[in-house]
Amino acid sequence: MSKLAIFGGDPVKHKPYPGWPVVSKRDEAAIERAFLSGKLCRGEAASALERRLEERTGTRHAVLVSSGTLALELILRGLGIGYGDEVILPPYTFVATLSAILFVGATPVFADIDTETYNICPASAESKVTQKTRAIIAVAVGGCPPSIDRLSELASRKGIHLIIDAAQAIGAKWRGVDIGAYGTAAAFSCQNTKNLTSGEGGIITTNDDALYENIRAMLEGRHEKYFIESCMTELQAAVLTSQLEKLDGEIVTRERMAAYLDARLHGLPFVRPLMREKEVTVNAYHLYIMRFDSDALTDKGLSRDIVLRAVAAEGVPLSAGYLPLYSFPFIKTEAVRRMIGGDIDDSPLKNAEKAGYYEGSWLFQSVLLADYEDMDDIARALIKVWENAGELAARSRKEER
Amino acid sequence: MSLELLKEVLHSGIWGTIGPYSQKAAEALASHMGAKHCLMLYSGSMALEVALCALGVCQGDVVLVPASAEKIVRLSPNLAGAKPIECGGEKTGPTDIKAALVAEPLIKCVVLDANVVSGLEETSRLLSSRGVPLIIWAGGQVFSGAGRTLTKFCDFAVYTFSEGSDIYAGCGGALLTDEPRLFHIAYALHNCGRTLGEEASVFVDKAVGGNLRITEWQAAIIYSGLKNQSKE
Repeated sequence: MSKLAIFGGDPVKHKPYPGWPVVSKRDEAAIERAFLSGKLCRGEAASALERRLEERTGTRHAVLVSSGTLALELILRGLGIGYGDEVILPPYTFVATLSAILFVGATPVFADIDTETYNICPASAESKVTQKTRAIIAVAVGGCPPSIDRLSELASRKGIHLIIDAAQAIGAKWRGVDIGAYGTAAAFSCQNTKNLTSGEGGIITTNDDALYENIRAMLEGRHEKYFIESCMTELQAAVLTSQLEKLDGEIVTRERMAAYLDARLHGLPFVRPLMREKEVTVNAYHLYIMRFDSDALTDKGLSRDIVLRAVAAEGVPLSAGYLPLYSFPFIKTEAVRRMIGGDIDDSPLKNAEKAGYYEGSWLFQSVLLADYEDMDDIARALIKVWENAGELAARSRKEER
Repeated sequence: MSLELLKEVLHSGIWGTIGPYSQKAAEALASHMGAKHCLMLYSGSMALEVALCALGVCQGDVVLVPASAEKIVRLSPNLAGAKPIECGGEKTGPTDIKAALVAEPLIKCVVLDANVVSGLEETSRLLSSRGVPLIIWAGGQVFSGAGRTLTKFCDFAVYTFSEGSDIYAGCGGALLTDEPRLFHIAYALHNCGRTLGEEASVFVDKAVGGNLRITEWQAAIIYSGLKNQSKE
């Protein structure tokens, strides 16, 4: 009988990884208090949380909104970015980074990612700057800050805005400073899977007073052009405040478990963790991203996706992750063409192709809240699949035929 | 009732991303309003934005709005990159709309405010005969005023659950339509481009989407409000 669980063998892991979100009595009390206050929007909970986030991120302004998508959209609208403008973004990110640009009518321009970090490559971003470029959206993929120093220098030299898409990066730090303090503004998401969640939700942080005033005006109906009635409700703010109490402890745990897993994967010939730049002082680890060596897999007659299926059968929830955004079918539709008044360049980018189709794979953040034995199981599952690569390749070929 | 539902939501761990209460609230509201489809969104302004985008309104288009409508209605075309053109006086009726259509023949869409409209049936017939889509903003009138059965007269009816509305959920919006094609496009627009089941994919291959979803907290309150009313 086969050793591999995918072919009926005994899986490495029998117990599930921790679920998400983690609920406490404190959350229940927070919800009750907010509901009974009778003020379900623009009340004390949201206001107090905004002050706390300003303090935490070291920024002058924090604004709570309905989602990370809207946070980005409000930043773009608040900066007057729209039709006829270009915004540079990486293709290896969630679709919301792209849709925020499209919703304001600007043209998205894709720059390649760095092959070692999967974050936007500053050199590629620079090569995409034109007279029409108004901003670069740098995504902290998986919660790991991008090359802030080089991107800030580039934005400053070209006279454009650096916007940090920190949707996955609450608590992340670059040179000891919260990621929300960099760039013109940063956008965080509090969607249900995020490390700090209220189900849906977004946070904007900025030191730009004019941008802040514009955003507030749009949310409160004081703006001359936009009325976007989407302040975060008190119930969400109350839950976020309660969940915030445990965020720092969870960040420490995730970093500890990620370091342990890094060490366990060290030396494996076919997979390795993504690197982080030395200035990254805290990686929020919304995702633990690892890179398969596609050449090593090909030599064994395997692909990333076959390996992922086999690892998942061993009880380890490793998934394939993002496909490059430029490959999404809607990019070339008439509807999108009309939104921005032209075409989006969907030319393939080498590193994004490799990450999206052949090498990238993820573990979700709550996996890192498990214990050392659970981390060992991840390495054991990968090693087991690799040791049985011959059988996996042969049987996969047979199934394909 | 609402507080118990909120605790249930909390302990379920499903606080967003179109959970059970978002679906229950949508079903209850569609049933209450006599509409075929209902989509719950984070806010009324987002519902207006989705309605305009689903109808293909975009950069450079002209959208007619009543001069005396709420600000949220008058400014809504800007969210889709379109230009709002105001018409009518204290109330906007078919004569105002007809005159506006003559003055501005390239009007892409009309957004009316149910509170400041007159002759809705005639206006609806007029726009339908010209092939101009109609969105009606009912505000917070879920139980009162002109709120019910609006989808008979328009492509989308839009509701809000913010302060002053018949049901107050802090924030919240709903989009009602009798058109399955529009519903599926709107669904993708509000849910990051994701479709509602495979059968819908034929409708949404031209849609882009963001996260404009309602939370389960809001949806539970709205659902509770609708249930309480139906008991009364």
